[in-house]
Amino acid sequence: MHLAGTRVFIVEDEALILDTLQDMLEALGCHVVASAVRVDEALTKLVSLDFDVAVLDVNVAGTRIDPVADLLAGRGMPFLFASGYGRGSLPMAHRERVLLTKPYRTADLRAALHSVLPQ
Amino acid sequence: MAKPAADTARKGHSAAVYLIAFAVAVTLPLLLLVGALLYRSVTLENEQNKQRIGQVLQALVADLDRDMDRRIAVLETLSTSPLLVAEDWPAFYAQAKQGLGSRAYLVLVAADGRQVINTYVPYGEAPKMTGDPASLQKMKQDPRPVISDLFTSLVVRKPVYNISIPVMRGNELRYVMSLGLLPEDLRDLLQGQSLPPNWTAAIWDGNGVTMARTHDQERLLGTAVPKHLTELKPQTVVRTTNIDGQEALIAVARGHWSNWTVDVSFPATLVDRQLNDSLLFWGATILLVGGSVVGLALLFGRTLTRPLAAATAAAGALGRGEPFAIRDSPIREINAVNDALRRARHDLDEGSAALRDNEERLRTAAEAAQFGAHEYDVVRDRTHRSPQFLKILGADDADATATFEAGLDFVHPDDRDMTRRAKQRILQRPEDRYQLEYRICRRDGQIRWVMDRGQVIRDKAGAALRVIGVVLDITDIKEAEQRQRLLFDELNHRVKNTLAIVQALALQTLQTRPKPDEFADAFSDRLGSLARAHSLLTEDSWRGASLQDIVATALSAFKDEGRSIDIGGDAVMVPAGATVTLSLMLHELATNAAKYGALSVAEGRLAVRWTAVPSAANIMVDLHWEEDGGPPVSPPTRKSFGSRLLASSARQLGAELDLDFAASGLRCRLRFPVPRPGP
Repeated sequence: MHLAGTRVFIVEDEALILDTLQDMLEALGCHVVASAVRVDEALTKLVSLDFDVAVLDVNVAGTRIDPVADLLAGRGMPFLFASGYGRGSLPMAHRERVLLTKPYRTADLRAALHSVLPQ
Repeated sequence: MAKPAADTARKGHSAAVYLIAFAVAVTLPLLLLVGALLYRSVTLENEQNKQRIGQVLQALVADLDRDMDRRIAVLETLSTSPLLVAEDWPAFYAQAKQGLGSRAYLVLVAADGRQVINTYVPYGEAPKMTGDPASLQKMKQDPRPVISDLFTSLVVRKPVYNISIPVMRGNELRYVMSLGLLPEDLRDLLQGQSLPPNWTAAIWDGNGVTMARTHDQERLLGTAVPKHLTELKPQTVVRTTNIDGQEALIAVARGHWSNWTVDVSFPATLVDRQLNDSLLFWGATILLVGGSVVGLALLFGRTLTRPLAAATAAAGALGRGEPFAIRDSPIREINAVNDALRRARHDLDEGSAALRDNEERLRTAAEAAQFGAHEYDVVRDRTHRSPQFLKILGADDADATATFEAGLDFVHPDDRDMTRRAKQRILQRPEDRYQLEYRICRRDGQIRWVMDRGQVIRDKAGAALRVIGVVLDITDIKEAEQRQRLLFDELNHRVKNTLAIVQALALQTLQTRPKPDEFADAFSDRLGSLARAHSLLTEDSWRGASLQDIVATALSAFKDEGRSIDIGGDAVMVPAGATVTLSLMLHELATNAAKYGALSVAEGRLAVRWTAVPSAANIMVDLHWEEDGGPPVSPPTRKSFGSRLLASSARQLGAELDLDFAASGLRCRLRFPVPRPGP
């Protein structure tokens, strides 16, 4: 299982979902290095954070995720979206990224992570 | 509509012209016939005159000859007298004088020209020589009766003429016996013919000297007639100048005995006057008939054209929708036209009244429906817009008409190409109806959505002639649609988010309550809490809920059981997302209190109190959960679902959470910001 040890950064405002996602990732052997419940918090944490992949909610407590996605894309970091909104709600520049539609299963999460992480 | 050519009214001729032409066509042959008849009667008259001249001439000649025959017979009777043979001159003189009477006298001339007897004068007084030597000379050559020319008698001393016969003795001429006659006898003979007035008969002798005339005998006796008259061919009526130099119809003839000429003439002025009279009569007839015909034609034409002109004017007024009055005409056909016009006016009035009513209703309906109408004339490339359409466009009357391309000026630039293509396609494709939606830019800069529906009207060949359509401002509908779509998107998101929360609740509950019956109870409780939070939010359209309501709802089940629960604080609104989170937190605290804390025993007390203090950026809520009178409290030995939820939820709310597991009862303090209410 080569997801083992994968370092994950989560941006998700909904507490229960954040907890559950964290549980799922840990069940997959990933290590959640940090999480953010707001966009500004995420941007602050990203400055010094080291991780392999990010899972991003789209609408974070009323603020769009766009600046975070742009920053990650600029760095060439792999990331995926997890959102209750459809693909149409994704940032225009990131429409073709992997989208995990809520609610999702652990298997869905694993497949999504596999598809964004380098082989 | 093309204006009918005004020239048409000037085409053709007035009915009066046709009536005149008709009258002329009818009367002209009649007039020509009258003319021909008149001419015929004139020529016939002329012919008759000529014939009459001939007849009179013949009668005169015959009379003259008879007269001479009689005179010659008298002379011949005398020549056989024994007294002549015996040359008993005094007795013969007496016999002759007695036999002849007063109008004639006898002259007996010997062959040598010596007068023997002259009864004009007393016996023995006769002139010595004959006054008519010409007759003697003729008789010497040819012993036949001779009628002399006029000569002046030696005894009468007036012009006379002689009728002479030879008196022969054997083959020798012995005497010439002449009857001396006065020209008056000839005049009487001429006058005895009782010629019509103005006719003239005349006799001239072989020398062309007038011997007798019916008129002017005294004046012209013995004068020579003009040479051209003497040269006239006998028995032919010619027109020439008479002895007085006047135009006349003249015929001449010669007698059997004499070389005299008898002439009958009558003035050409008579003939001419007849001709002139006829011509005058004909001309007068033409003038009278022609004048009355033309006058009547004009009169009838007026009775025809006047009501026609009135009907024409009425038809014009009818066309312009103006009132008109027409009177009855004596002509039935025109009355029929008038009736038709009146009926048409009546029908039009009724029709236009109905049309006005209809139009009024349609306009009211269109205004009520706020429909703008437009009509596009394909052939002339012209669009007409109704006032309501102009109102929709925010335009004025100057924009009431436009070409196809100019008509697109109002279309929003982003929609213009699409609209142009669609409208061009509408004109070409076989379907007749269309419906388009596009945005327009009003004159005042507002952008509005319109729906444009219409129909194409085609000719028989299928080519588009006109497009008639209505335009409705659907901006409100469009905005409502957009709001609805947003709402659906939002709802979809919330449902999915809620499902995600439910999933999380299930997974989290399963970790601490793996036994099915325990899981079911705990999960159901939490679901119920979630449902009540949603109910609260639905009451205020998901804008949020008051903190009072959130707390009361979360604890309502325990309050209903009669537990001592004290709730109160400042009025403050919590946003939707925070409401759910806060509800779940309060639910976990209450569940914990009901299992292990103040709510697990009858004498336990719970107080939930808060303050809300506005700051520059938001409102800070400071909430205290305080339990008393319950069993002794001890901190949890392992991290439970509740404590994990409280911690992560507090983080979500941006809250500071203080949990104090005091022995007297659990103390929980939660400080979190909520946004200031909007204006």
